[in-house]
Amino acid sequence: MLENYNGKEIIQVESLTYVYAAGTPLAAAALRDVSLSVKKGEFLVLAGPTGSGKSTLAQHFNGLLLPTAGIVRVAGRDTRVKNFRRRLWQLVGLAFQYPEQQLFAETVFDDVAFGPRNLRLAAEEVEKRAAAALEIVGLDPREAKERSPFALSQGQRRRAALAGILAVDPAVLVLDEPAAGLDPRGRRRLLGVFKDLQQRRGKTIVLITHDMDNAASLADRIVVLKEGRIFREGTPREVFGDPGPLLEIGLRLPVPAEILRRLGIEGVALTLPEAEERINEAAAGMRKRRPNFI
Amino acid sequence: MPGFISPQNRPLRGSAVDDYYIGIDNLKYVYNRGEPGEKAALDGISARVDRGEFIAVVGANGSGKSTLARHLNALLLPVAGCVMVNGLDTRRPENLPAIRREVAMIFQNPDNQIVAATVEEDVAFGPENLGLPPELIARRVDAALKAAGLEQLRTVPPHFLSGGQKQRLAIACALAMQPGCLVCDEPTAMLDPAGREEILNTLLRLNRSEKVTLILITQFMEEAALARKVWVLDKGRLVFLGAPAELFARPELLTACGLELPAPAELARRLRAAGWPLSLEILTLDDLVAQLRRILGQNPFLNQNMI
Amino acid sequence: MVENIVFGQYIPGKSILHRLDPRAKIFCLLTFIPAVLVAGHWPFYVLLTLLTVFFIVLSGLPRRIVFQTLRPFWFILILTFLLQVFFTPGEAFLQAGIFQATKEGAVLGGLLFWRLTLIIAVSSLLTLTTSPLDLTAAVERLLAPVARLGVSAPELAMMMTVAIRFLPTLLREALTIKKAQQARGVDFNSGWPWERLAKTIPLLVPLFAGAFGRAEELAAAMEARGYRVGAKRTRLHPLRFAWRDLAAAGFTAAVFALVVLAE
Repeated sequence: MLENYNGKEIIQVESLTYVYAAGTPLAAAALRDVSLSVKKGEFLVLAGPTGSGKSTLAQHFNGLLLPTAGIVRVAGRDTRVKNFRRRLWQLVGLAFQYPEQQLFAETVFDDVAFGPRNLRLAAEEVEKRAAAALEIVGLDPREAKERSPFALSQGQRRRAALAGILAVDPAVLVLDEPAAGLDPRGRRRLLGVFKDLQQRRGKTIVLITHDMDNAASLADRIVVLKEGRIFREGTPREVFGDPGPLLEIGLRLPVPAEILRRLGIEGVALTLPEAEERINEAAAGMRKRRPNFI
Repeated sequence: MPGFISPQNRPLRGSAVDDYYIGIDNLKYVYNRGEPGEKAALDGISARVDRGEFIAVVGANGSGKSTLARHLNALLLPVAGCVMVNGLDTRRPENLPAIRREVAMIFQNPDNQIVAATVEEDVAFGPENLGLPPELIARRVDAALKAAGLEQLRTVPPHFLSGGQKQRLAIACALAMQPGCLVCDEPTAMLDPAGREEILNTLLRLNRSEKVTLILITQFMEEAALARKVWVLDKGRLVFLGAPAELFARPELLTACGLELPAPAELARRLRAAGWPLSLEILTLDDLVAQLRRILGQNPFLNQNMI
Repeated sequence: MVENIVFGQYIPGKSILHRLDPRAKIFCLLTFIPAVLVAGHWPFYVLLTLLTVFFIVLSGLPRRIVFQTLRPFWFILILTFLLQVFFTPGEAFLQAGIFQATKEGAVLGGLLFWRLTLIIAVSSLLTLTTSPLDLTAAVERLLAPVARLGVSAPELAMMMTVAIRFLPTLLREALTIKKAQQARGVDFNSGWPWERLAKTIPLLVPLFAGAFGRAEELAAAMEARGYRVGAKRTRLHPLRFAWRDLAAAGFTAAVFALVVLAE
């Protein structure tokens, strides 16, 4: 049934408003009239300052939170429908920040198999899925059967926790700062895994991140939230091509774009090679006029 | 472990190490010593810290950065070798109070180092432990809150603070001990970019204007670029010790240690390879932009307003 | 003699409640009270009330003594009840001057009155059956991961401060872990009671592991800020944790988990 959604909107959010502690004096609107959609197979980055509602929005995608007003549809079905909500978690996998805090089982393997077991799959199928998920994140399935998740290094624990979410084989993965706290190589590798899942296996990825360099190099589309509303939306080139508003709300440009901006070179660069090219072009333009330049 | 000399039997050195402000001599540390999970964490580290310095310590996850940091104020004690702070050996229990006063620590998770129920009380916790009279504590609290820019938040419960504010509270708590040295163990790892900048600016100001010695453990190479000196740890060994510019001139070393050049230095390297006359001293985005501007500066086709 | 007993004064005895390890008793109390606070349905009130009566019987103390410990609280209990009755908006059944008592208020006030009564009764059982020395030792030992240094009276106050300070943090963490496990397919709101109990493992293990990690970091942070406690103390009668203690702790934890999951 999901094939029908290829390239179409697998998540539709219409005029979503969410109020925390509704009906009490502490009530505070976390999301106001948000409308957006996520297309199947796209890599969407949710950005915005702390407290802008990114995580609240993400929790609506798999029914952990339900709209105070408005509607959220996943694969065409309303997330408020009770018997759909029970199965929604298989469609949309969600990893909170520092997901390794949720590890609990005796072995890494059991922890990863927890999701598939909740699906009540046959033992071999559980085994197969858990092993596959562990391999995707670069952990050895055989070793995982012997080691306690509490004996792993921080980076390994992170990957084990994410494998636990991949093992359910959800069509959409929602990831909240999955690489926070890892070293540069660990960050790059882990984000590479998700880009790969999107490009080769057609997964839909929703990445919540503060890191604009990652957003620029990974995203097909960026949605910037501010105070619970959608502030900017578009391709990285569109969003970073209009830096004024972003800088105003305390966000930064990716380094390549920021360098071009400060040098006054027209256009947007999303990657370092691209920035290099643009700077070389600017210099070439200069050489034409002043042959002795450089 | 062969070759290890038990701390009790090892003669304390009278020379070099204790002449330094902080001296580390052939420091070794092993987790779960003598147990099945035994794991060498630090393997023969020797280094020194001078007063007023700003040193960044970088390395991949599990390279031993935090373990090293915890040796600098005797939260961990060497399995072999020694650490001397201001001439005091960390292995001697009677030195602990003086060492803890001299070297203050700031940890990664801002939530796990707040003790009390309000900002003010939390800052007072350290001086209270020193047994100071109330007036003196009040004075220290005032000064520390001011230095960290938290005067307005004195009576606020900590769980109402933002991540950056919590970490500034941790800095204020450290300052209330009037330390000569701040050891910061990845203080920005759990913060958003705005919070990160807030903390870095505070730390830099303390180092520059208050002459506080700053040792910054970090995974962000952009932060290491701001330091005067960088130590690179790899699997418990100190594999590099020198200025950031020297380190960034050796990208292969960084790669081997699981690290990367910060983006501006990486772009400078690429441009240099393409023939641009950029100096090796480019560490930060500001440096790179300044040099490129000087070269491109006279171009009439660049939009001068943007520069 | 009985007349002079104030709230929670220790009465020596040999009952099972007396013999339980004080740490187990504290743990039971710490799970029972939140269960009372969280409970919102009649069946649970009945269950918790029966349990309280059961505990009183187990203590082997004259019932009179237990009721007596409530005495200093009567005023507050009745005041709380009346405030609820008269200041809850709703359908009035009684007019007294400008005040009107409402049905809703009577229900709310009654529930609150009952909750407080249960909490005071059970709390007093702890101090009635445990010597102050044992209690202090138990608190010391329970807080050992944080203190890791042995605790004495002034430190106890510090530990309480820390505990209060960390409550919001741990509550937030518990909520996140619950959501994270829901996102992995745990349905906390269905199944038989024993199934529901099994479902608390993915909740409790990470929560405790996390709390332990926090405690360790906090201990380091406190130590780094010059916090030290005098030399380690030894005890003539070291505390011993037995199977019955584990059973008691497990039982109230189960009650707590059941109530929390159902509400």
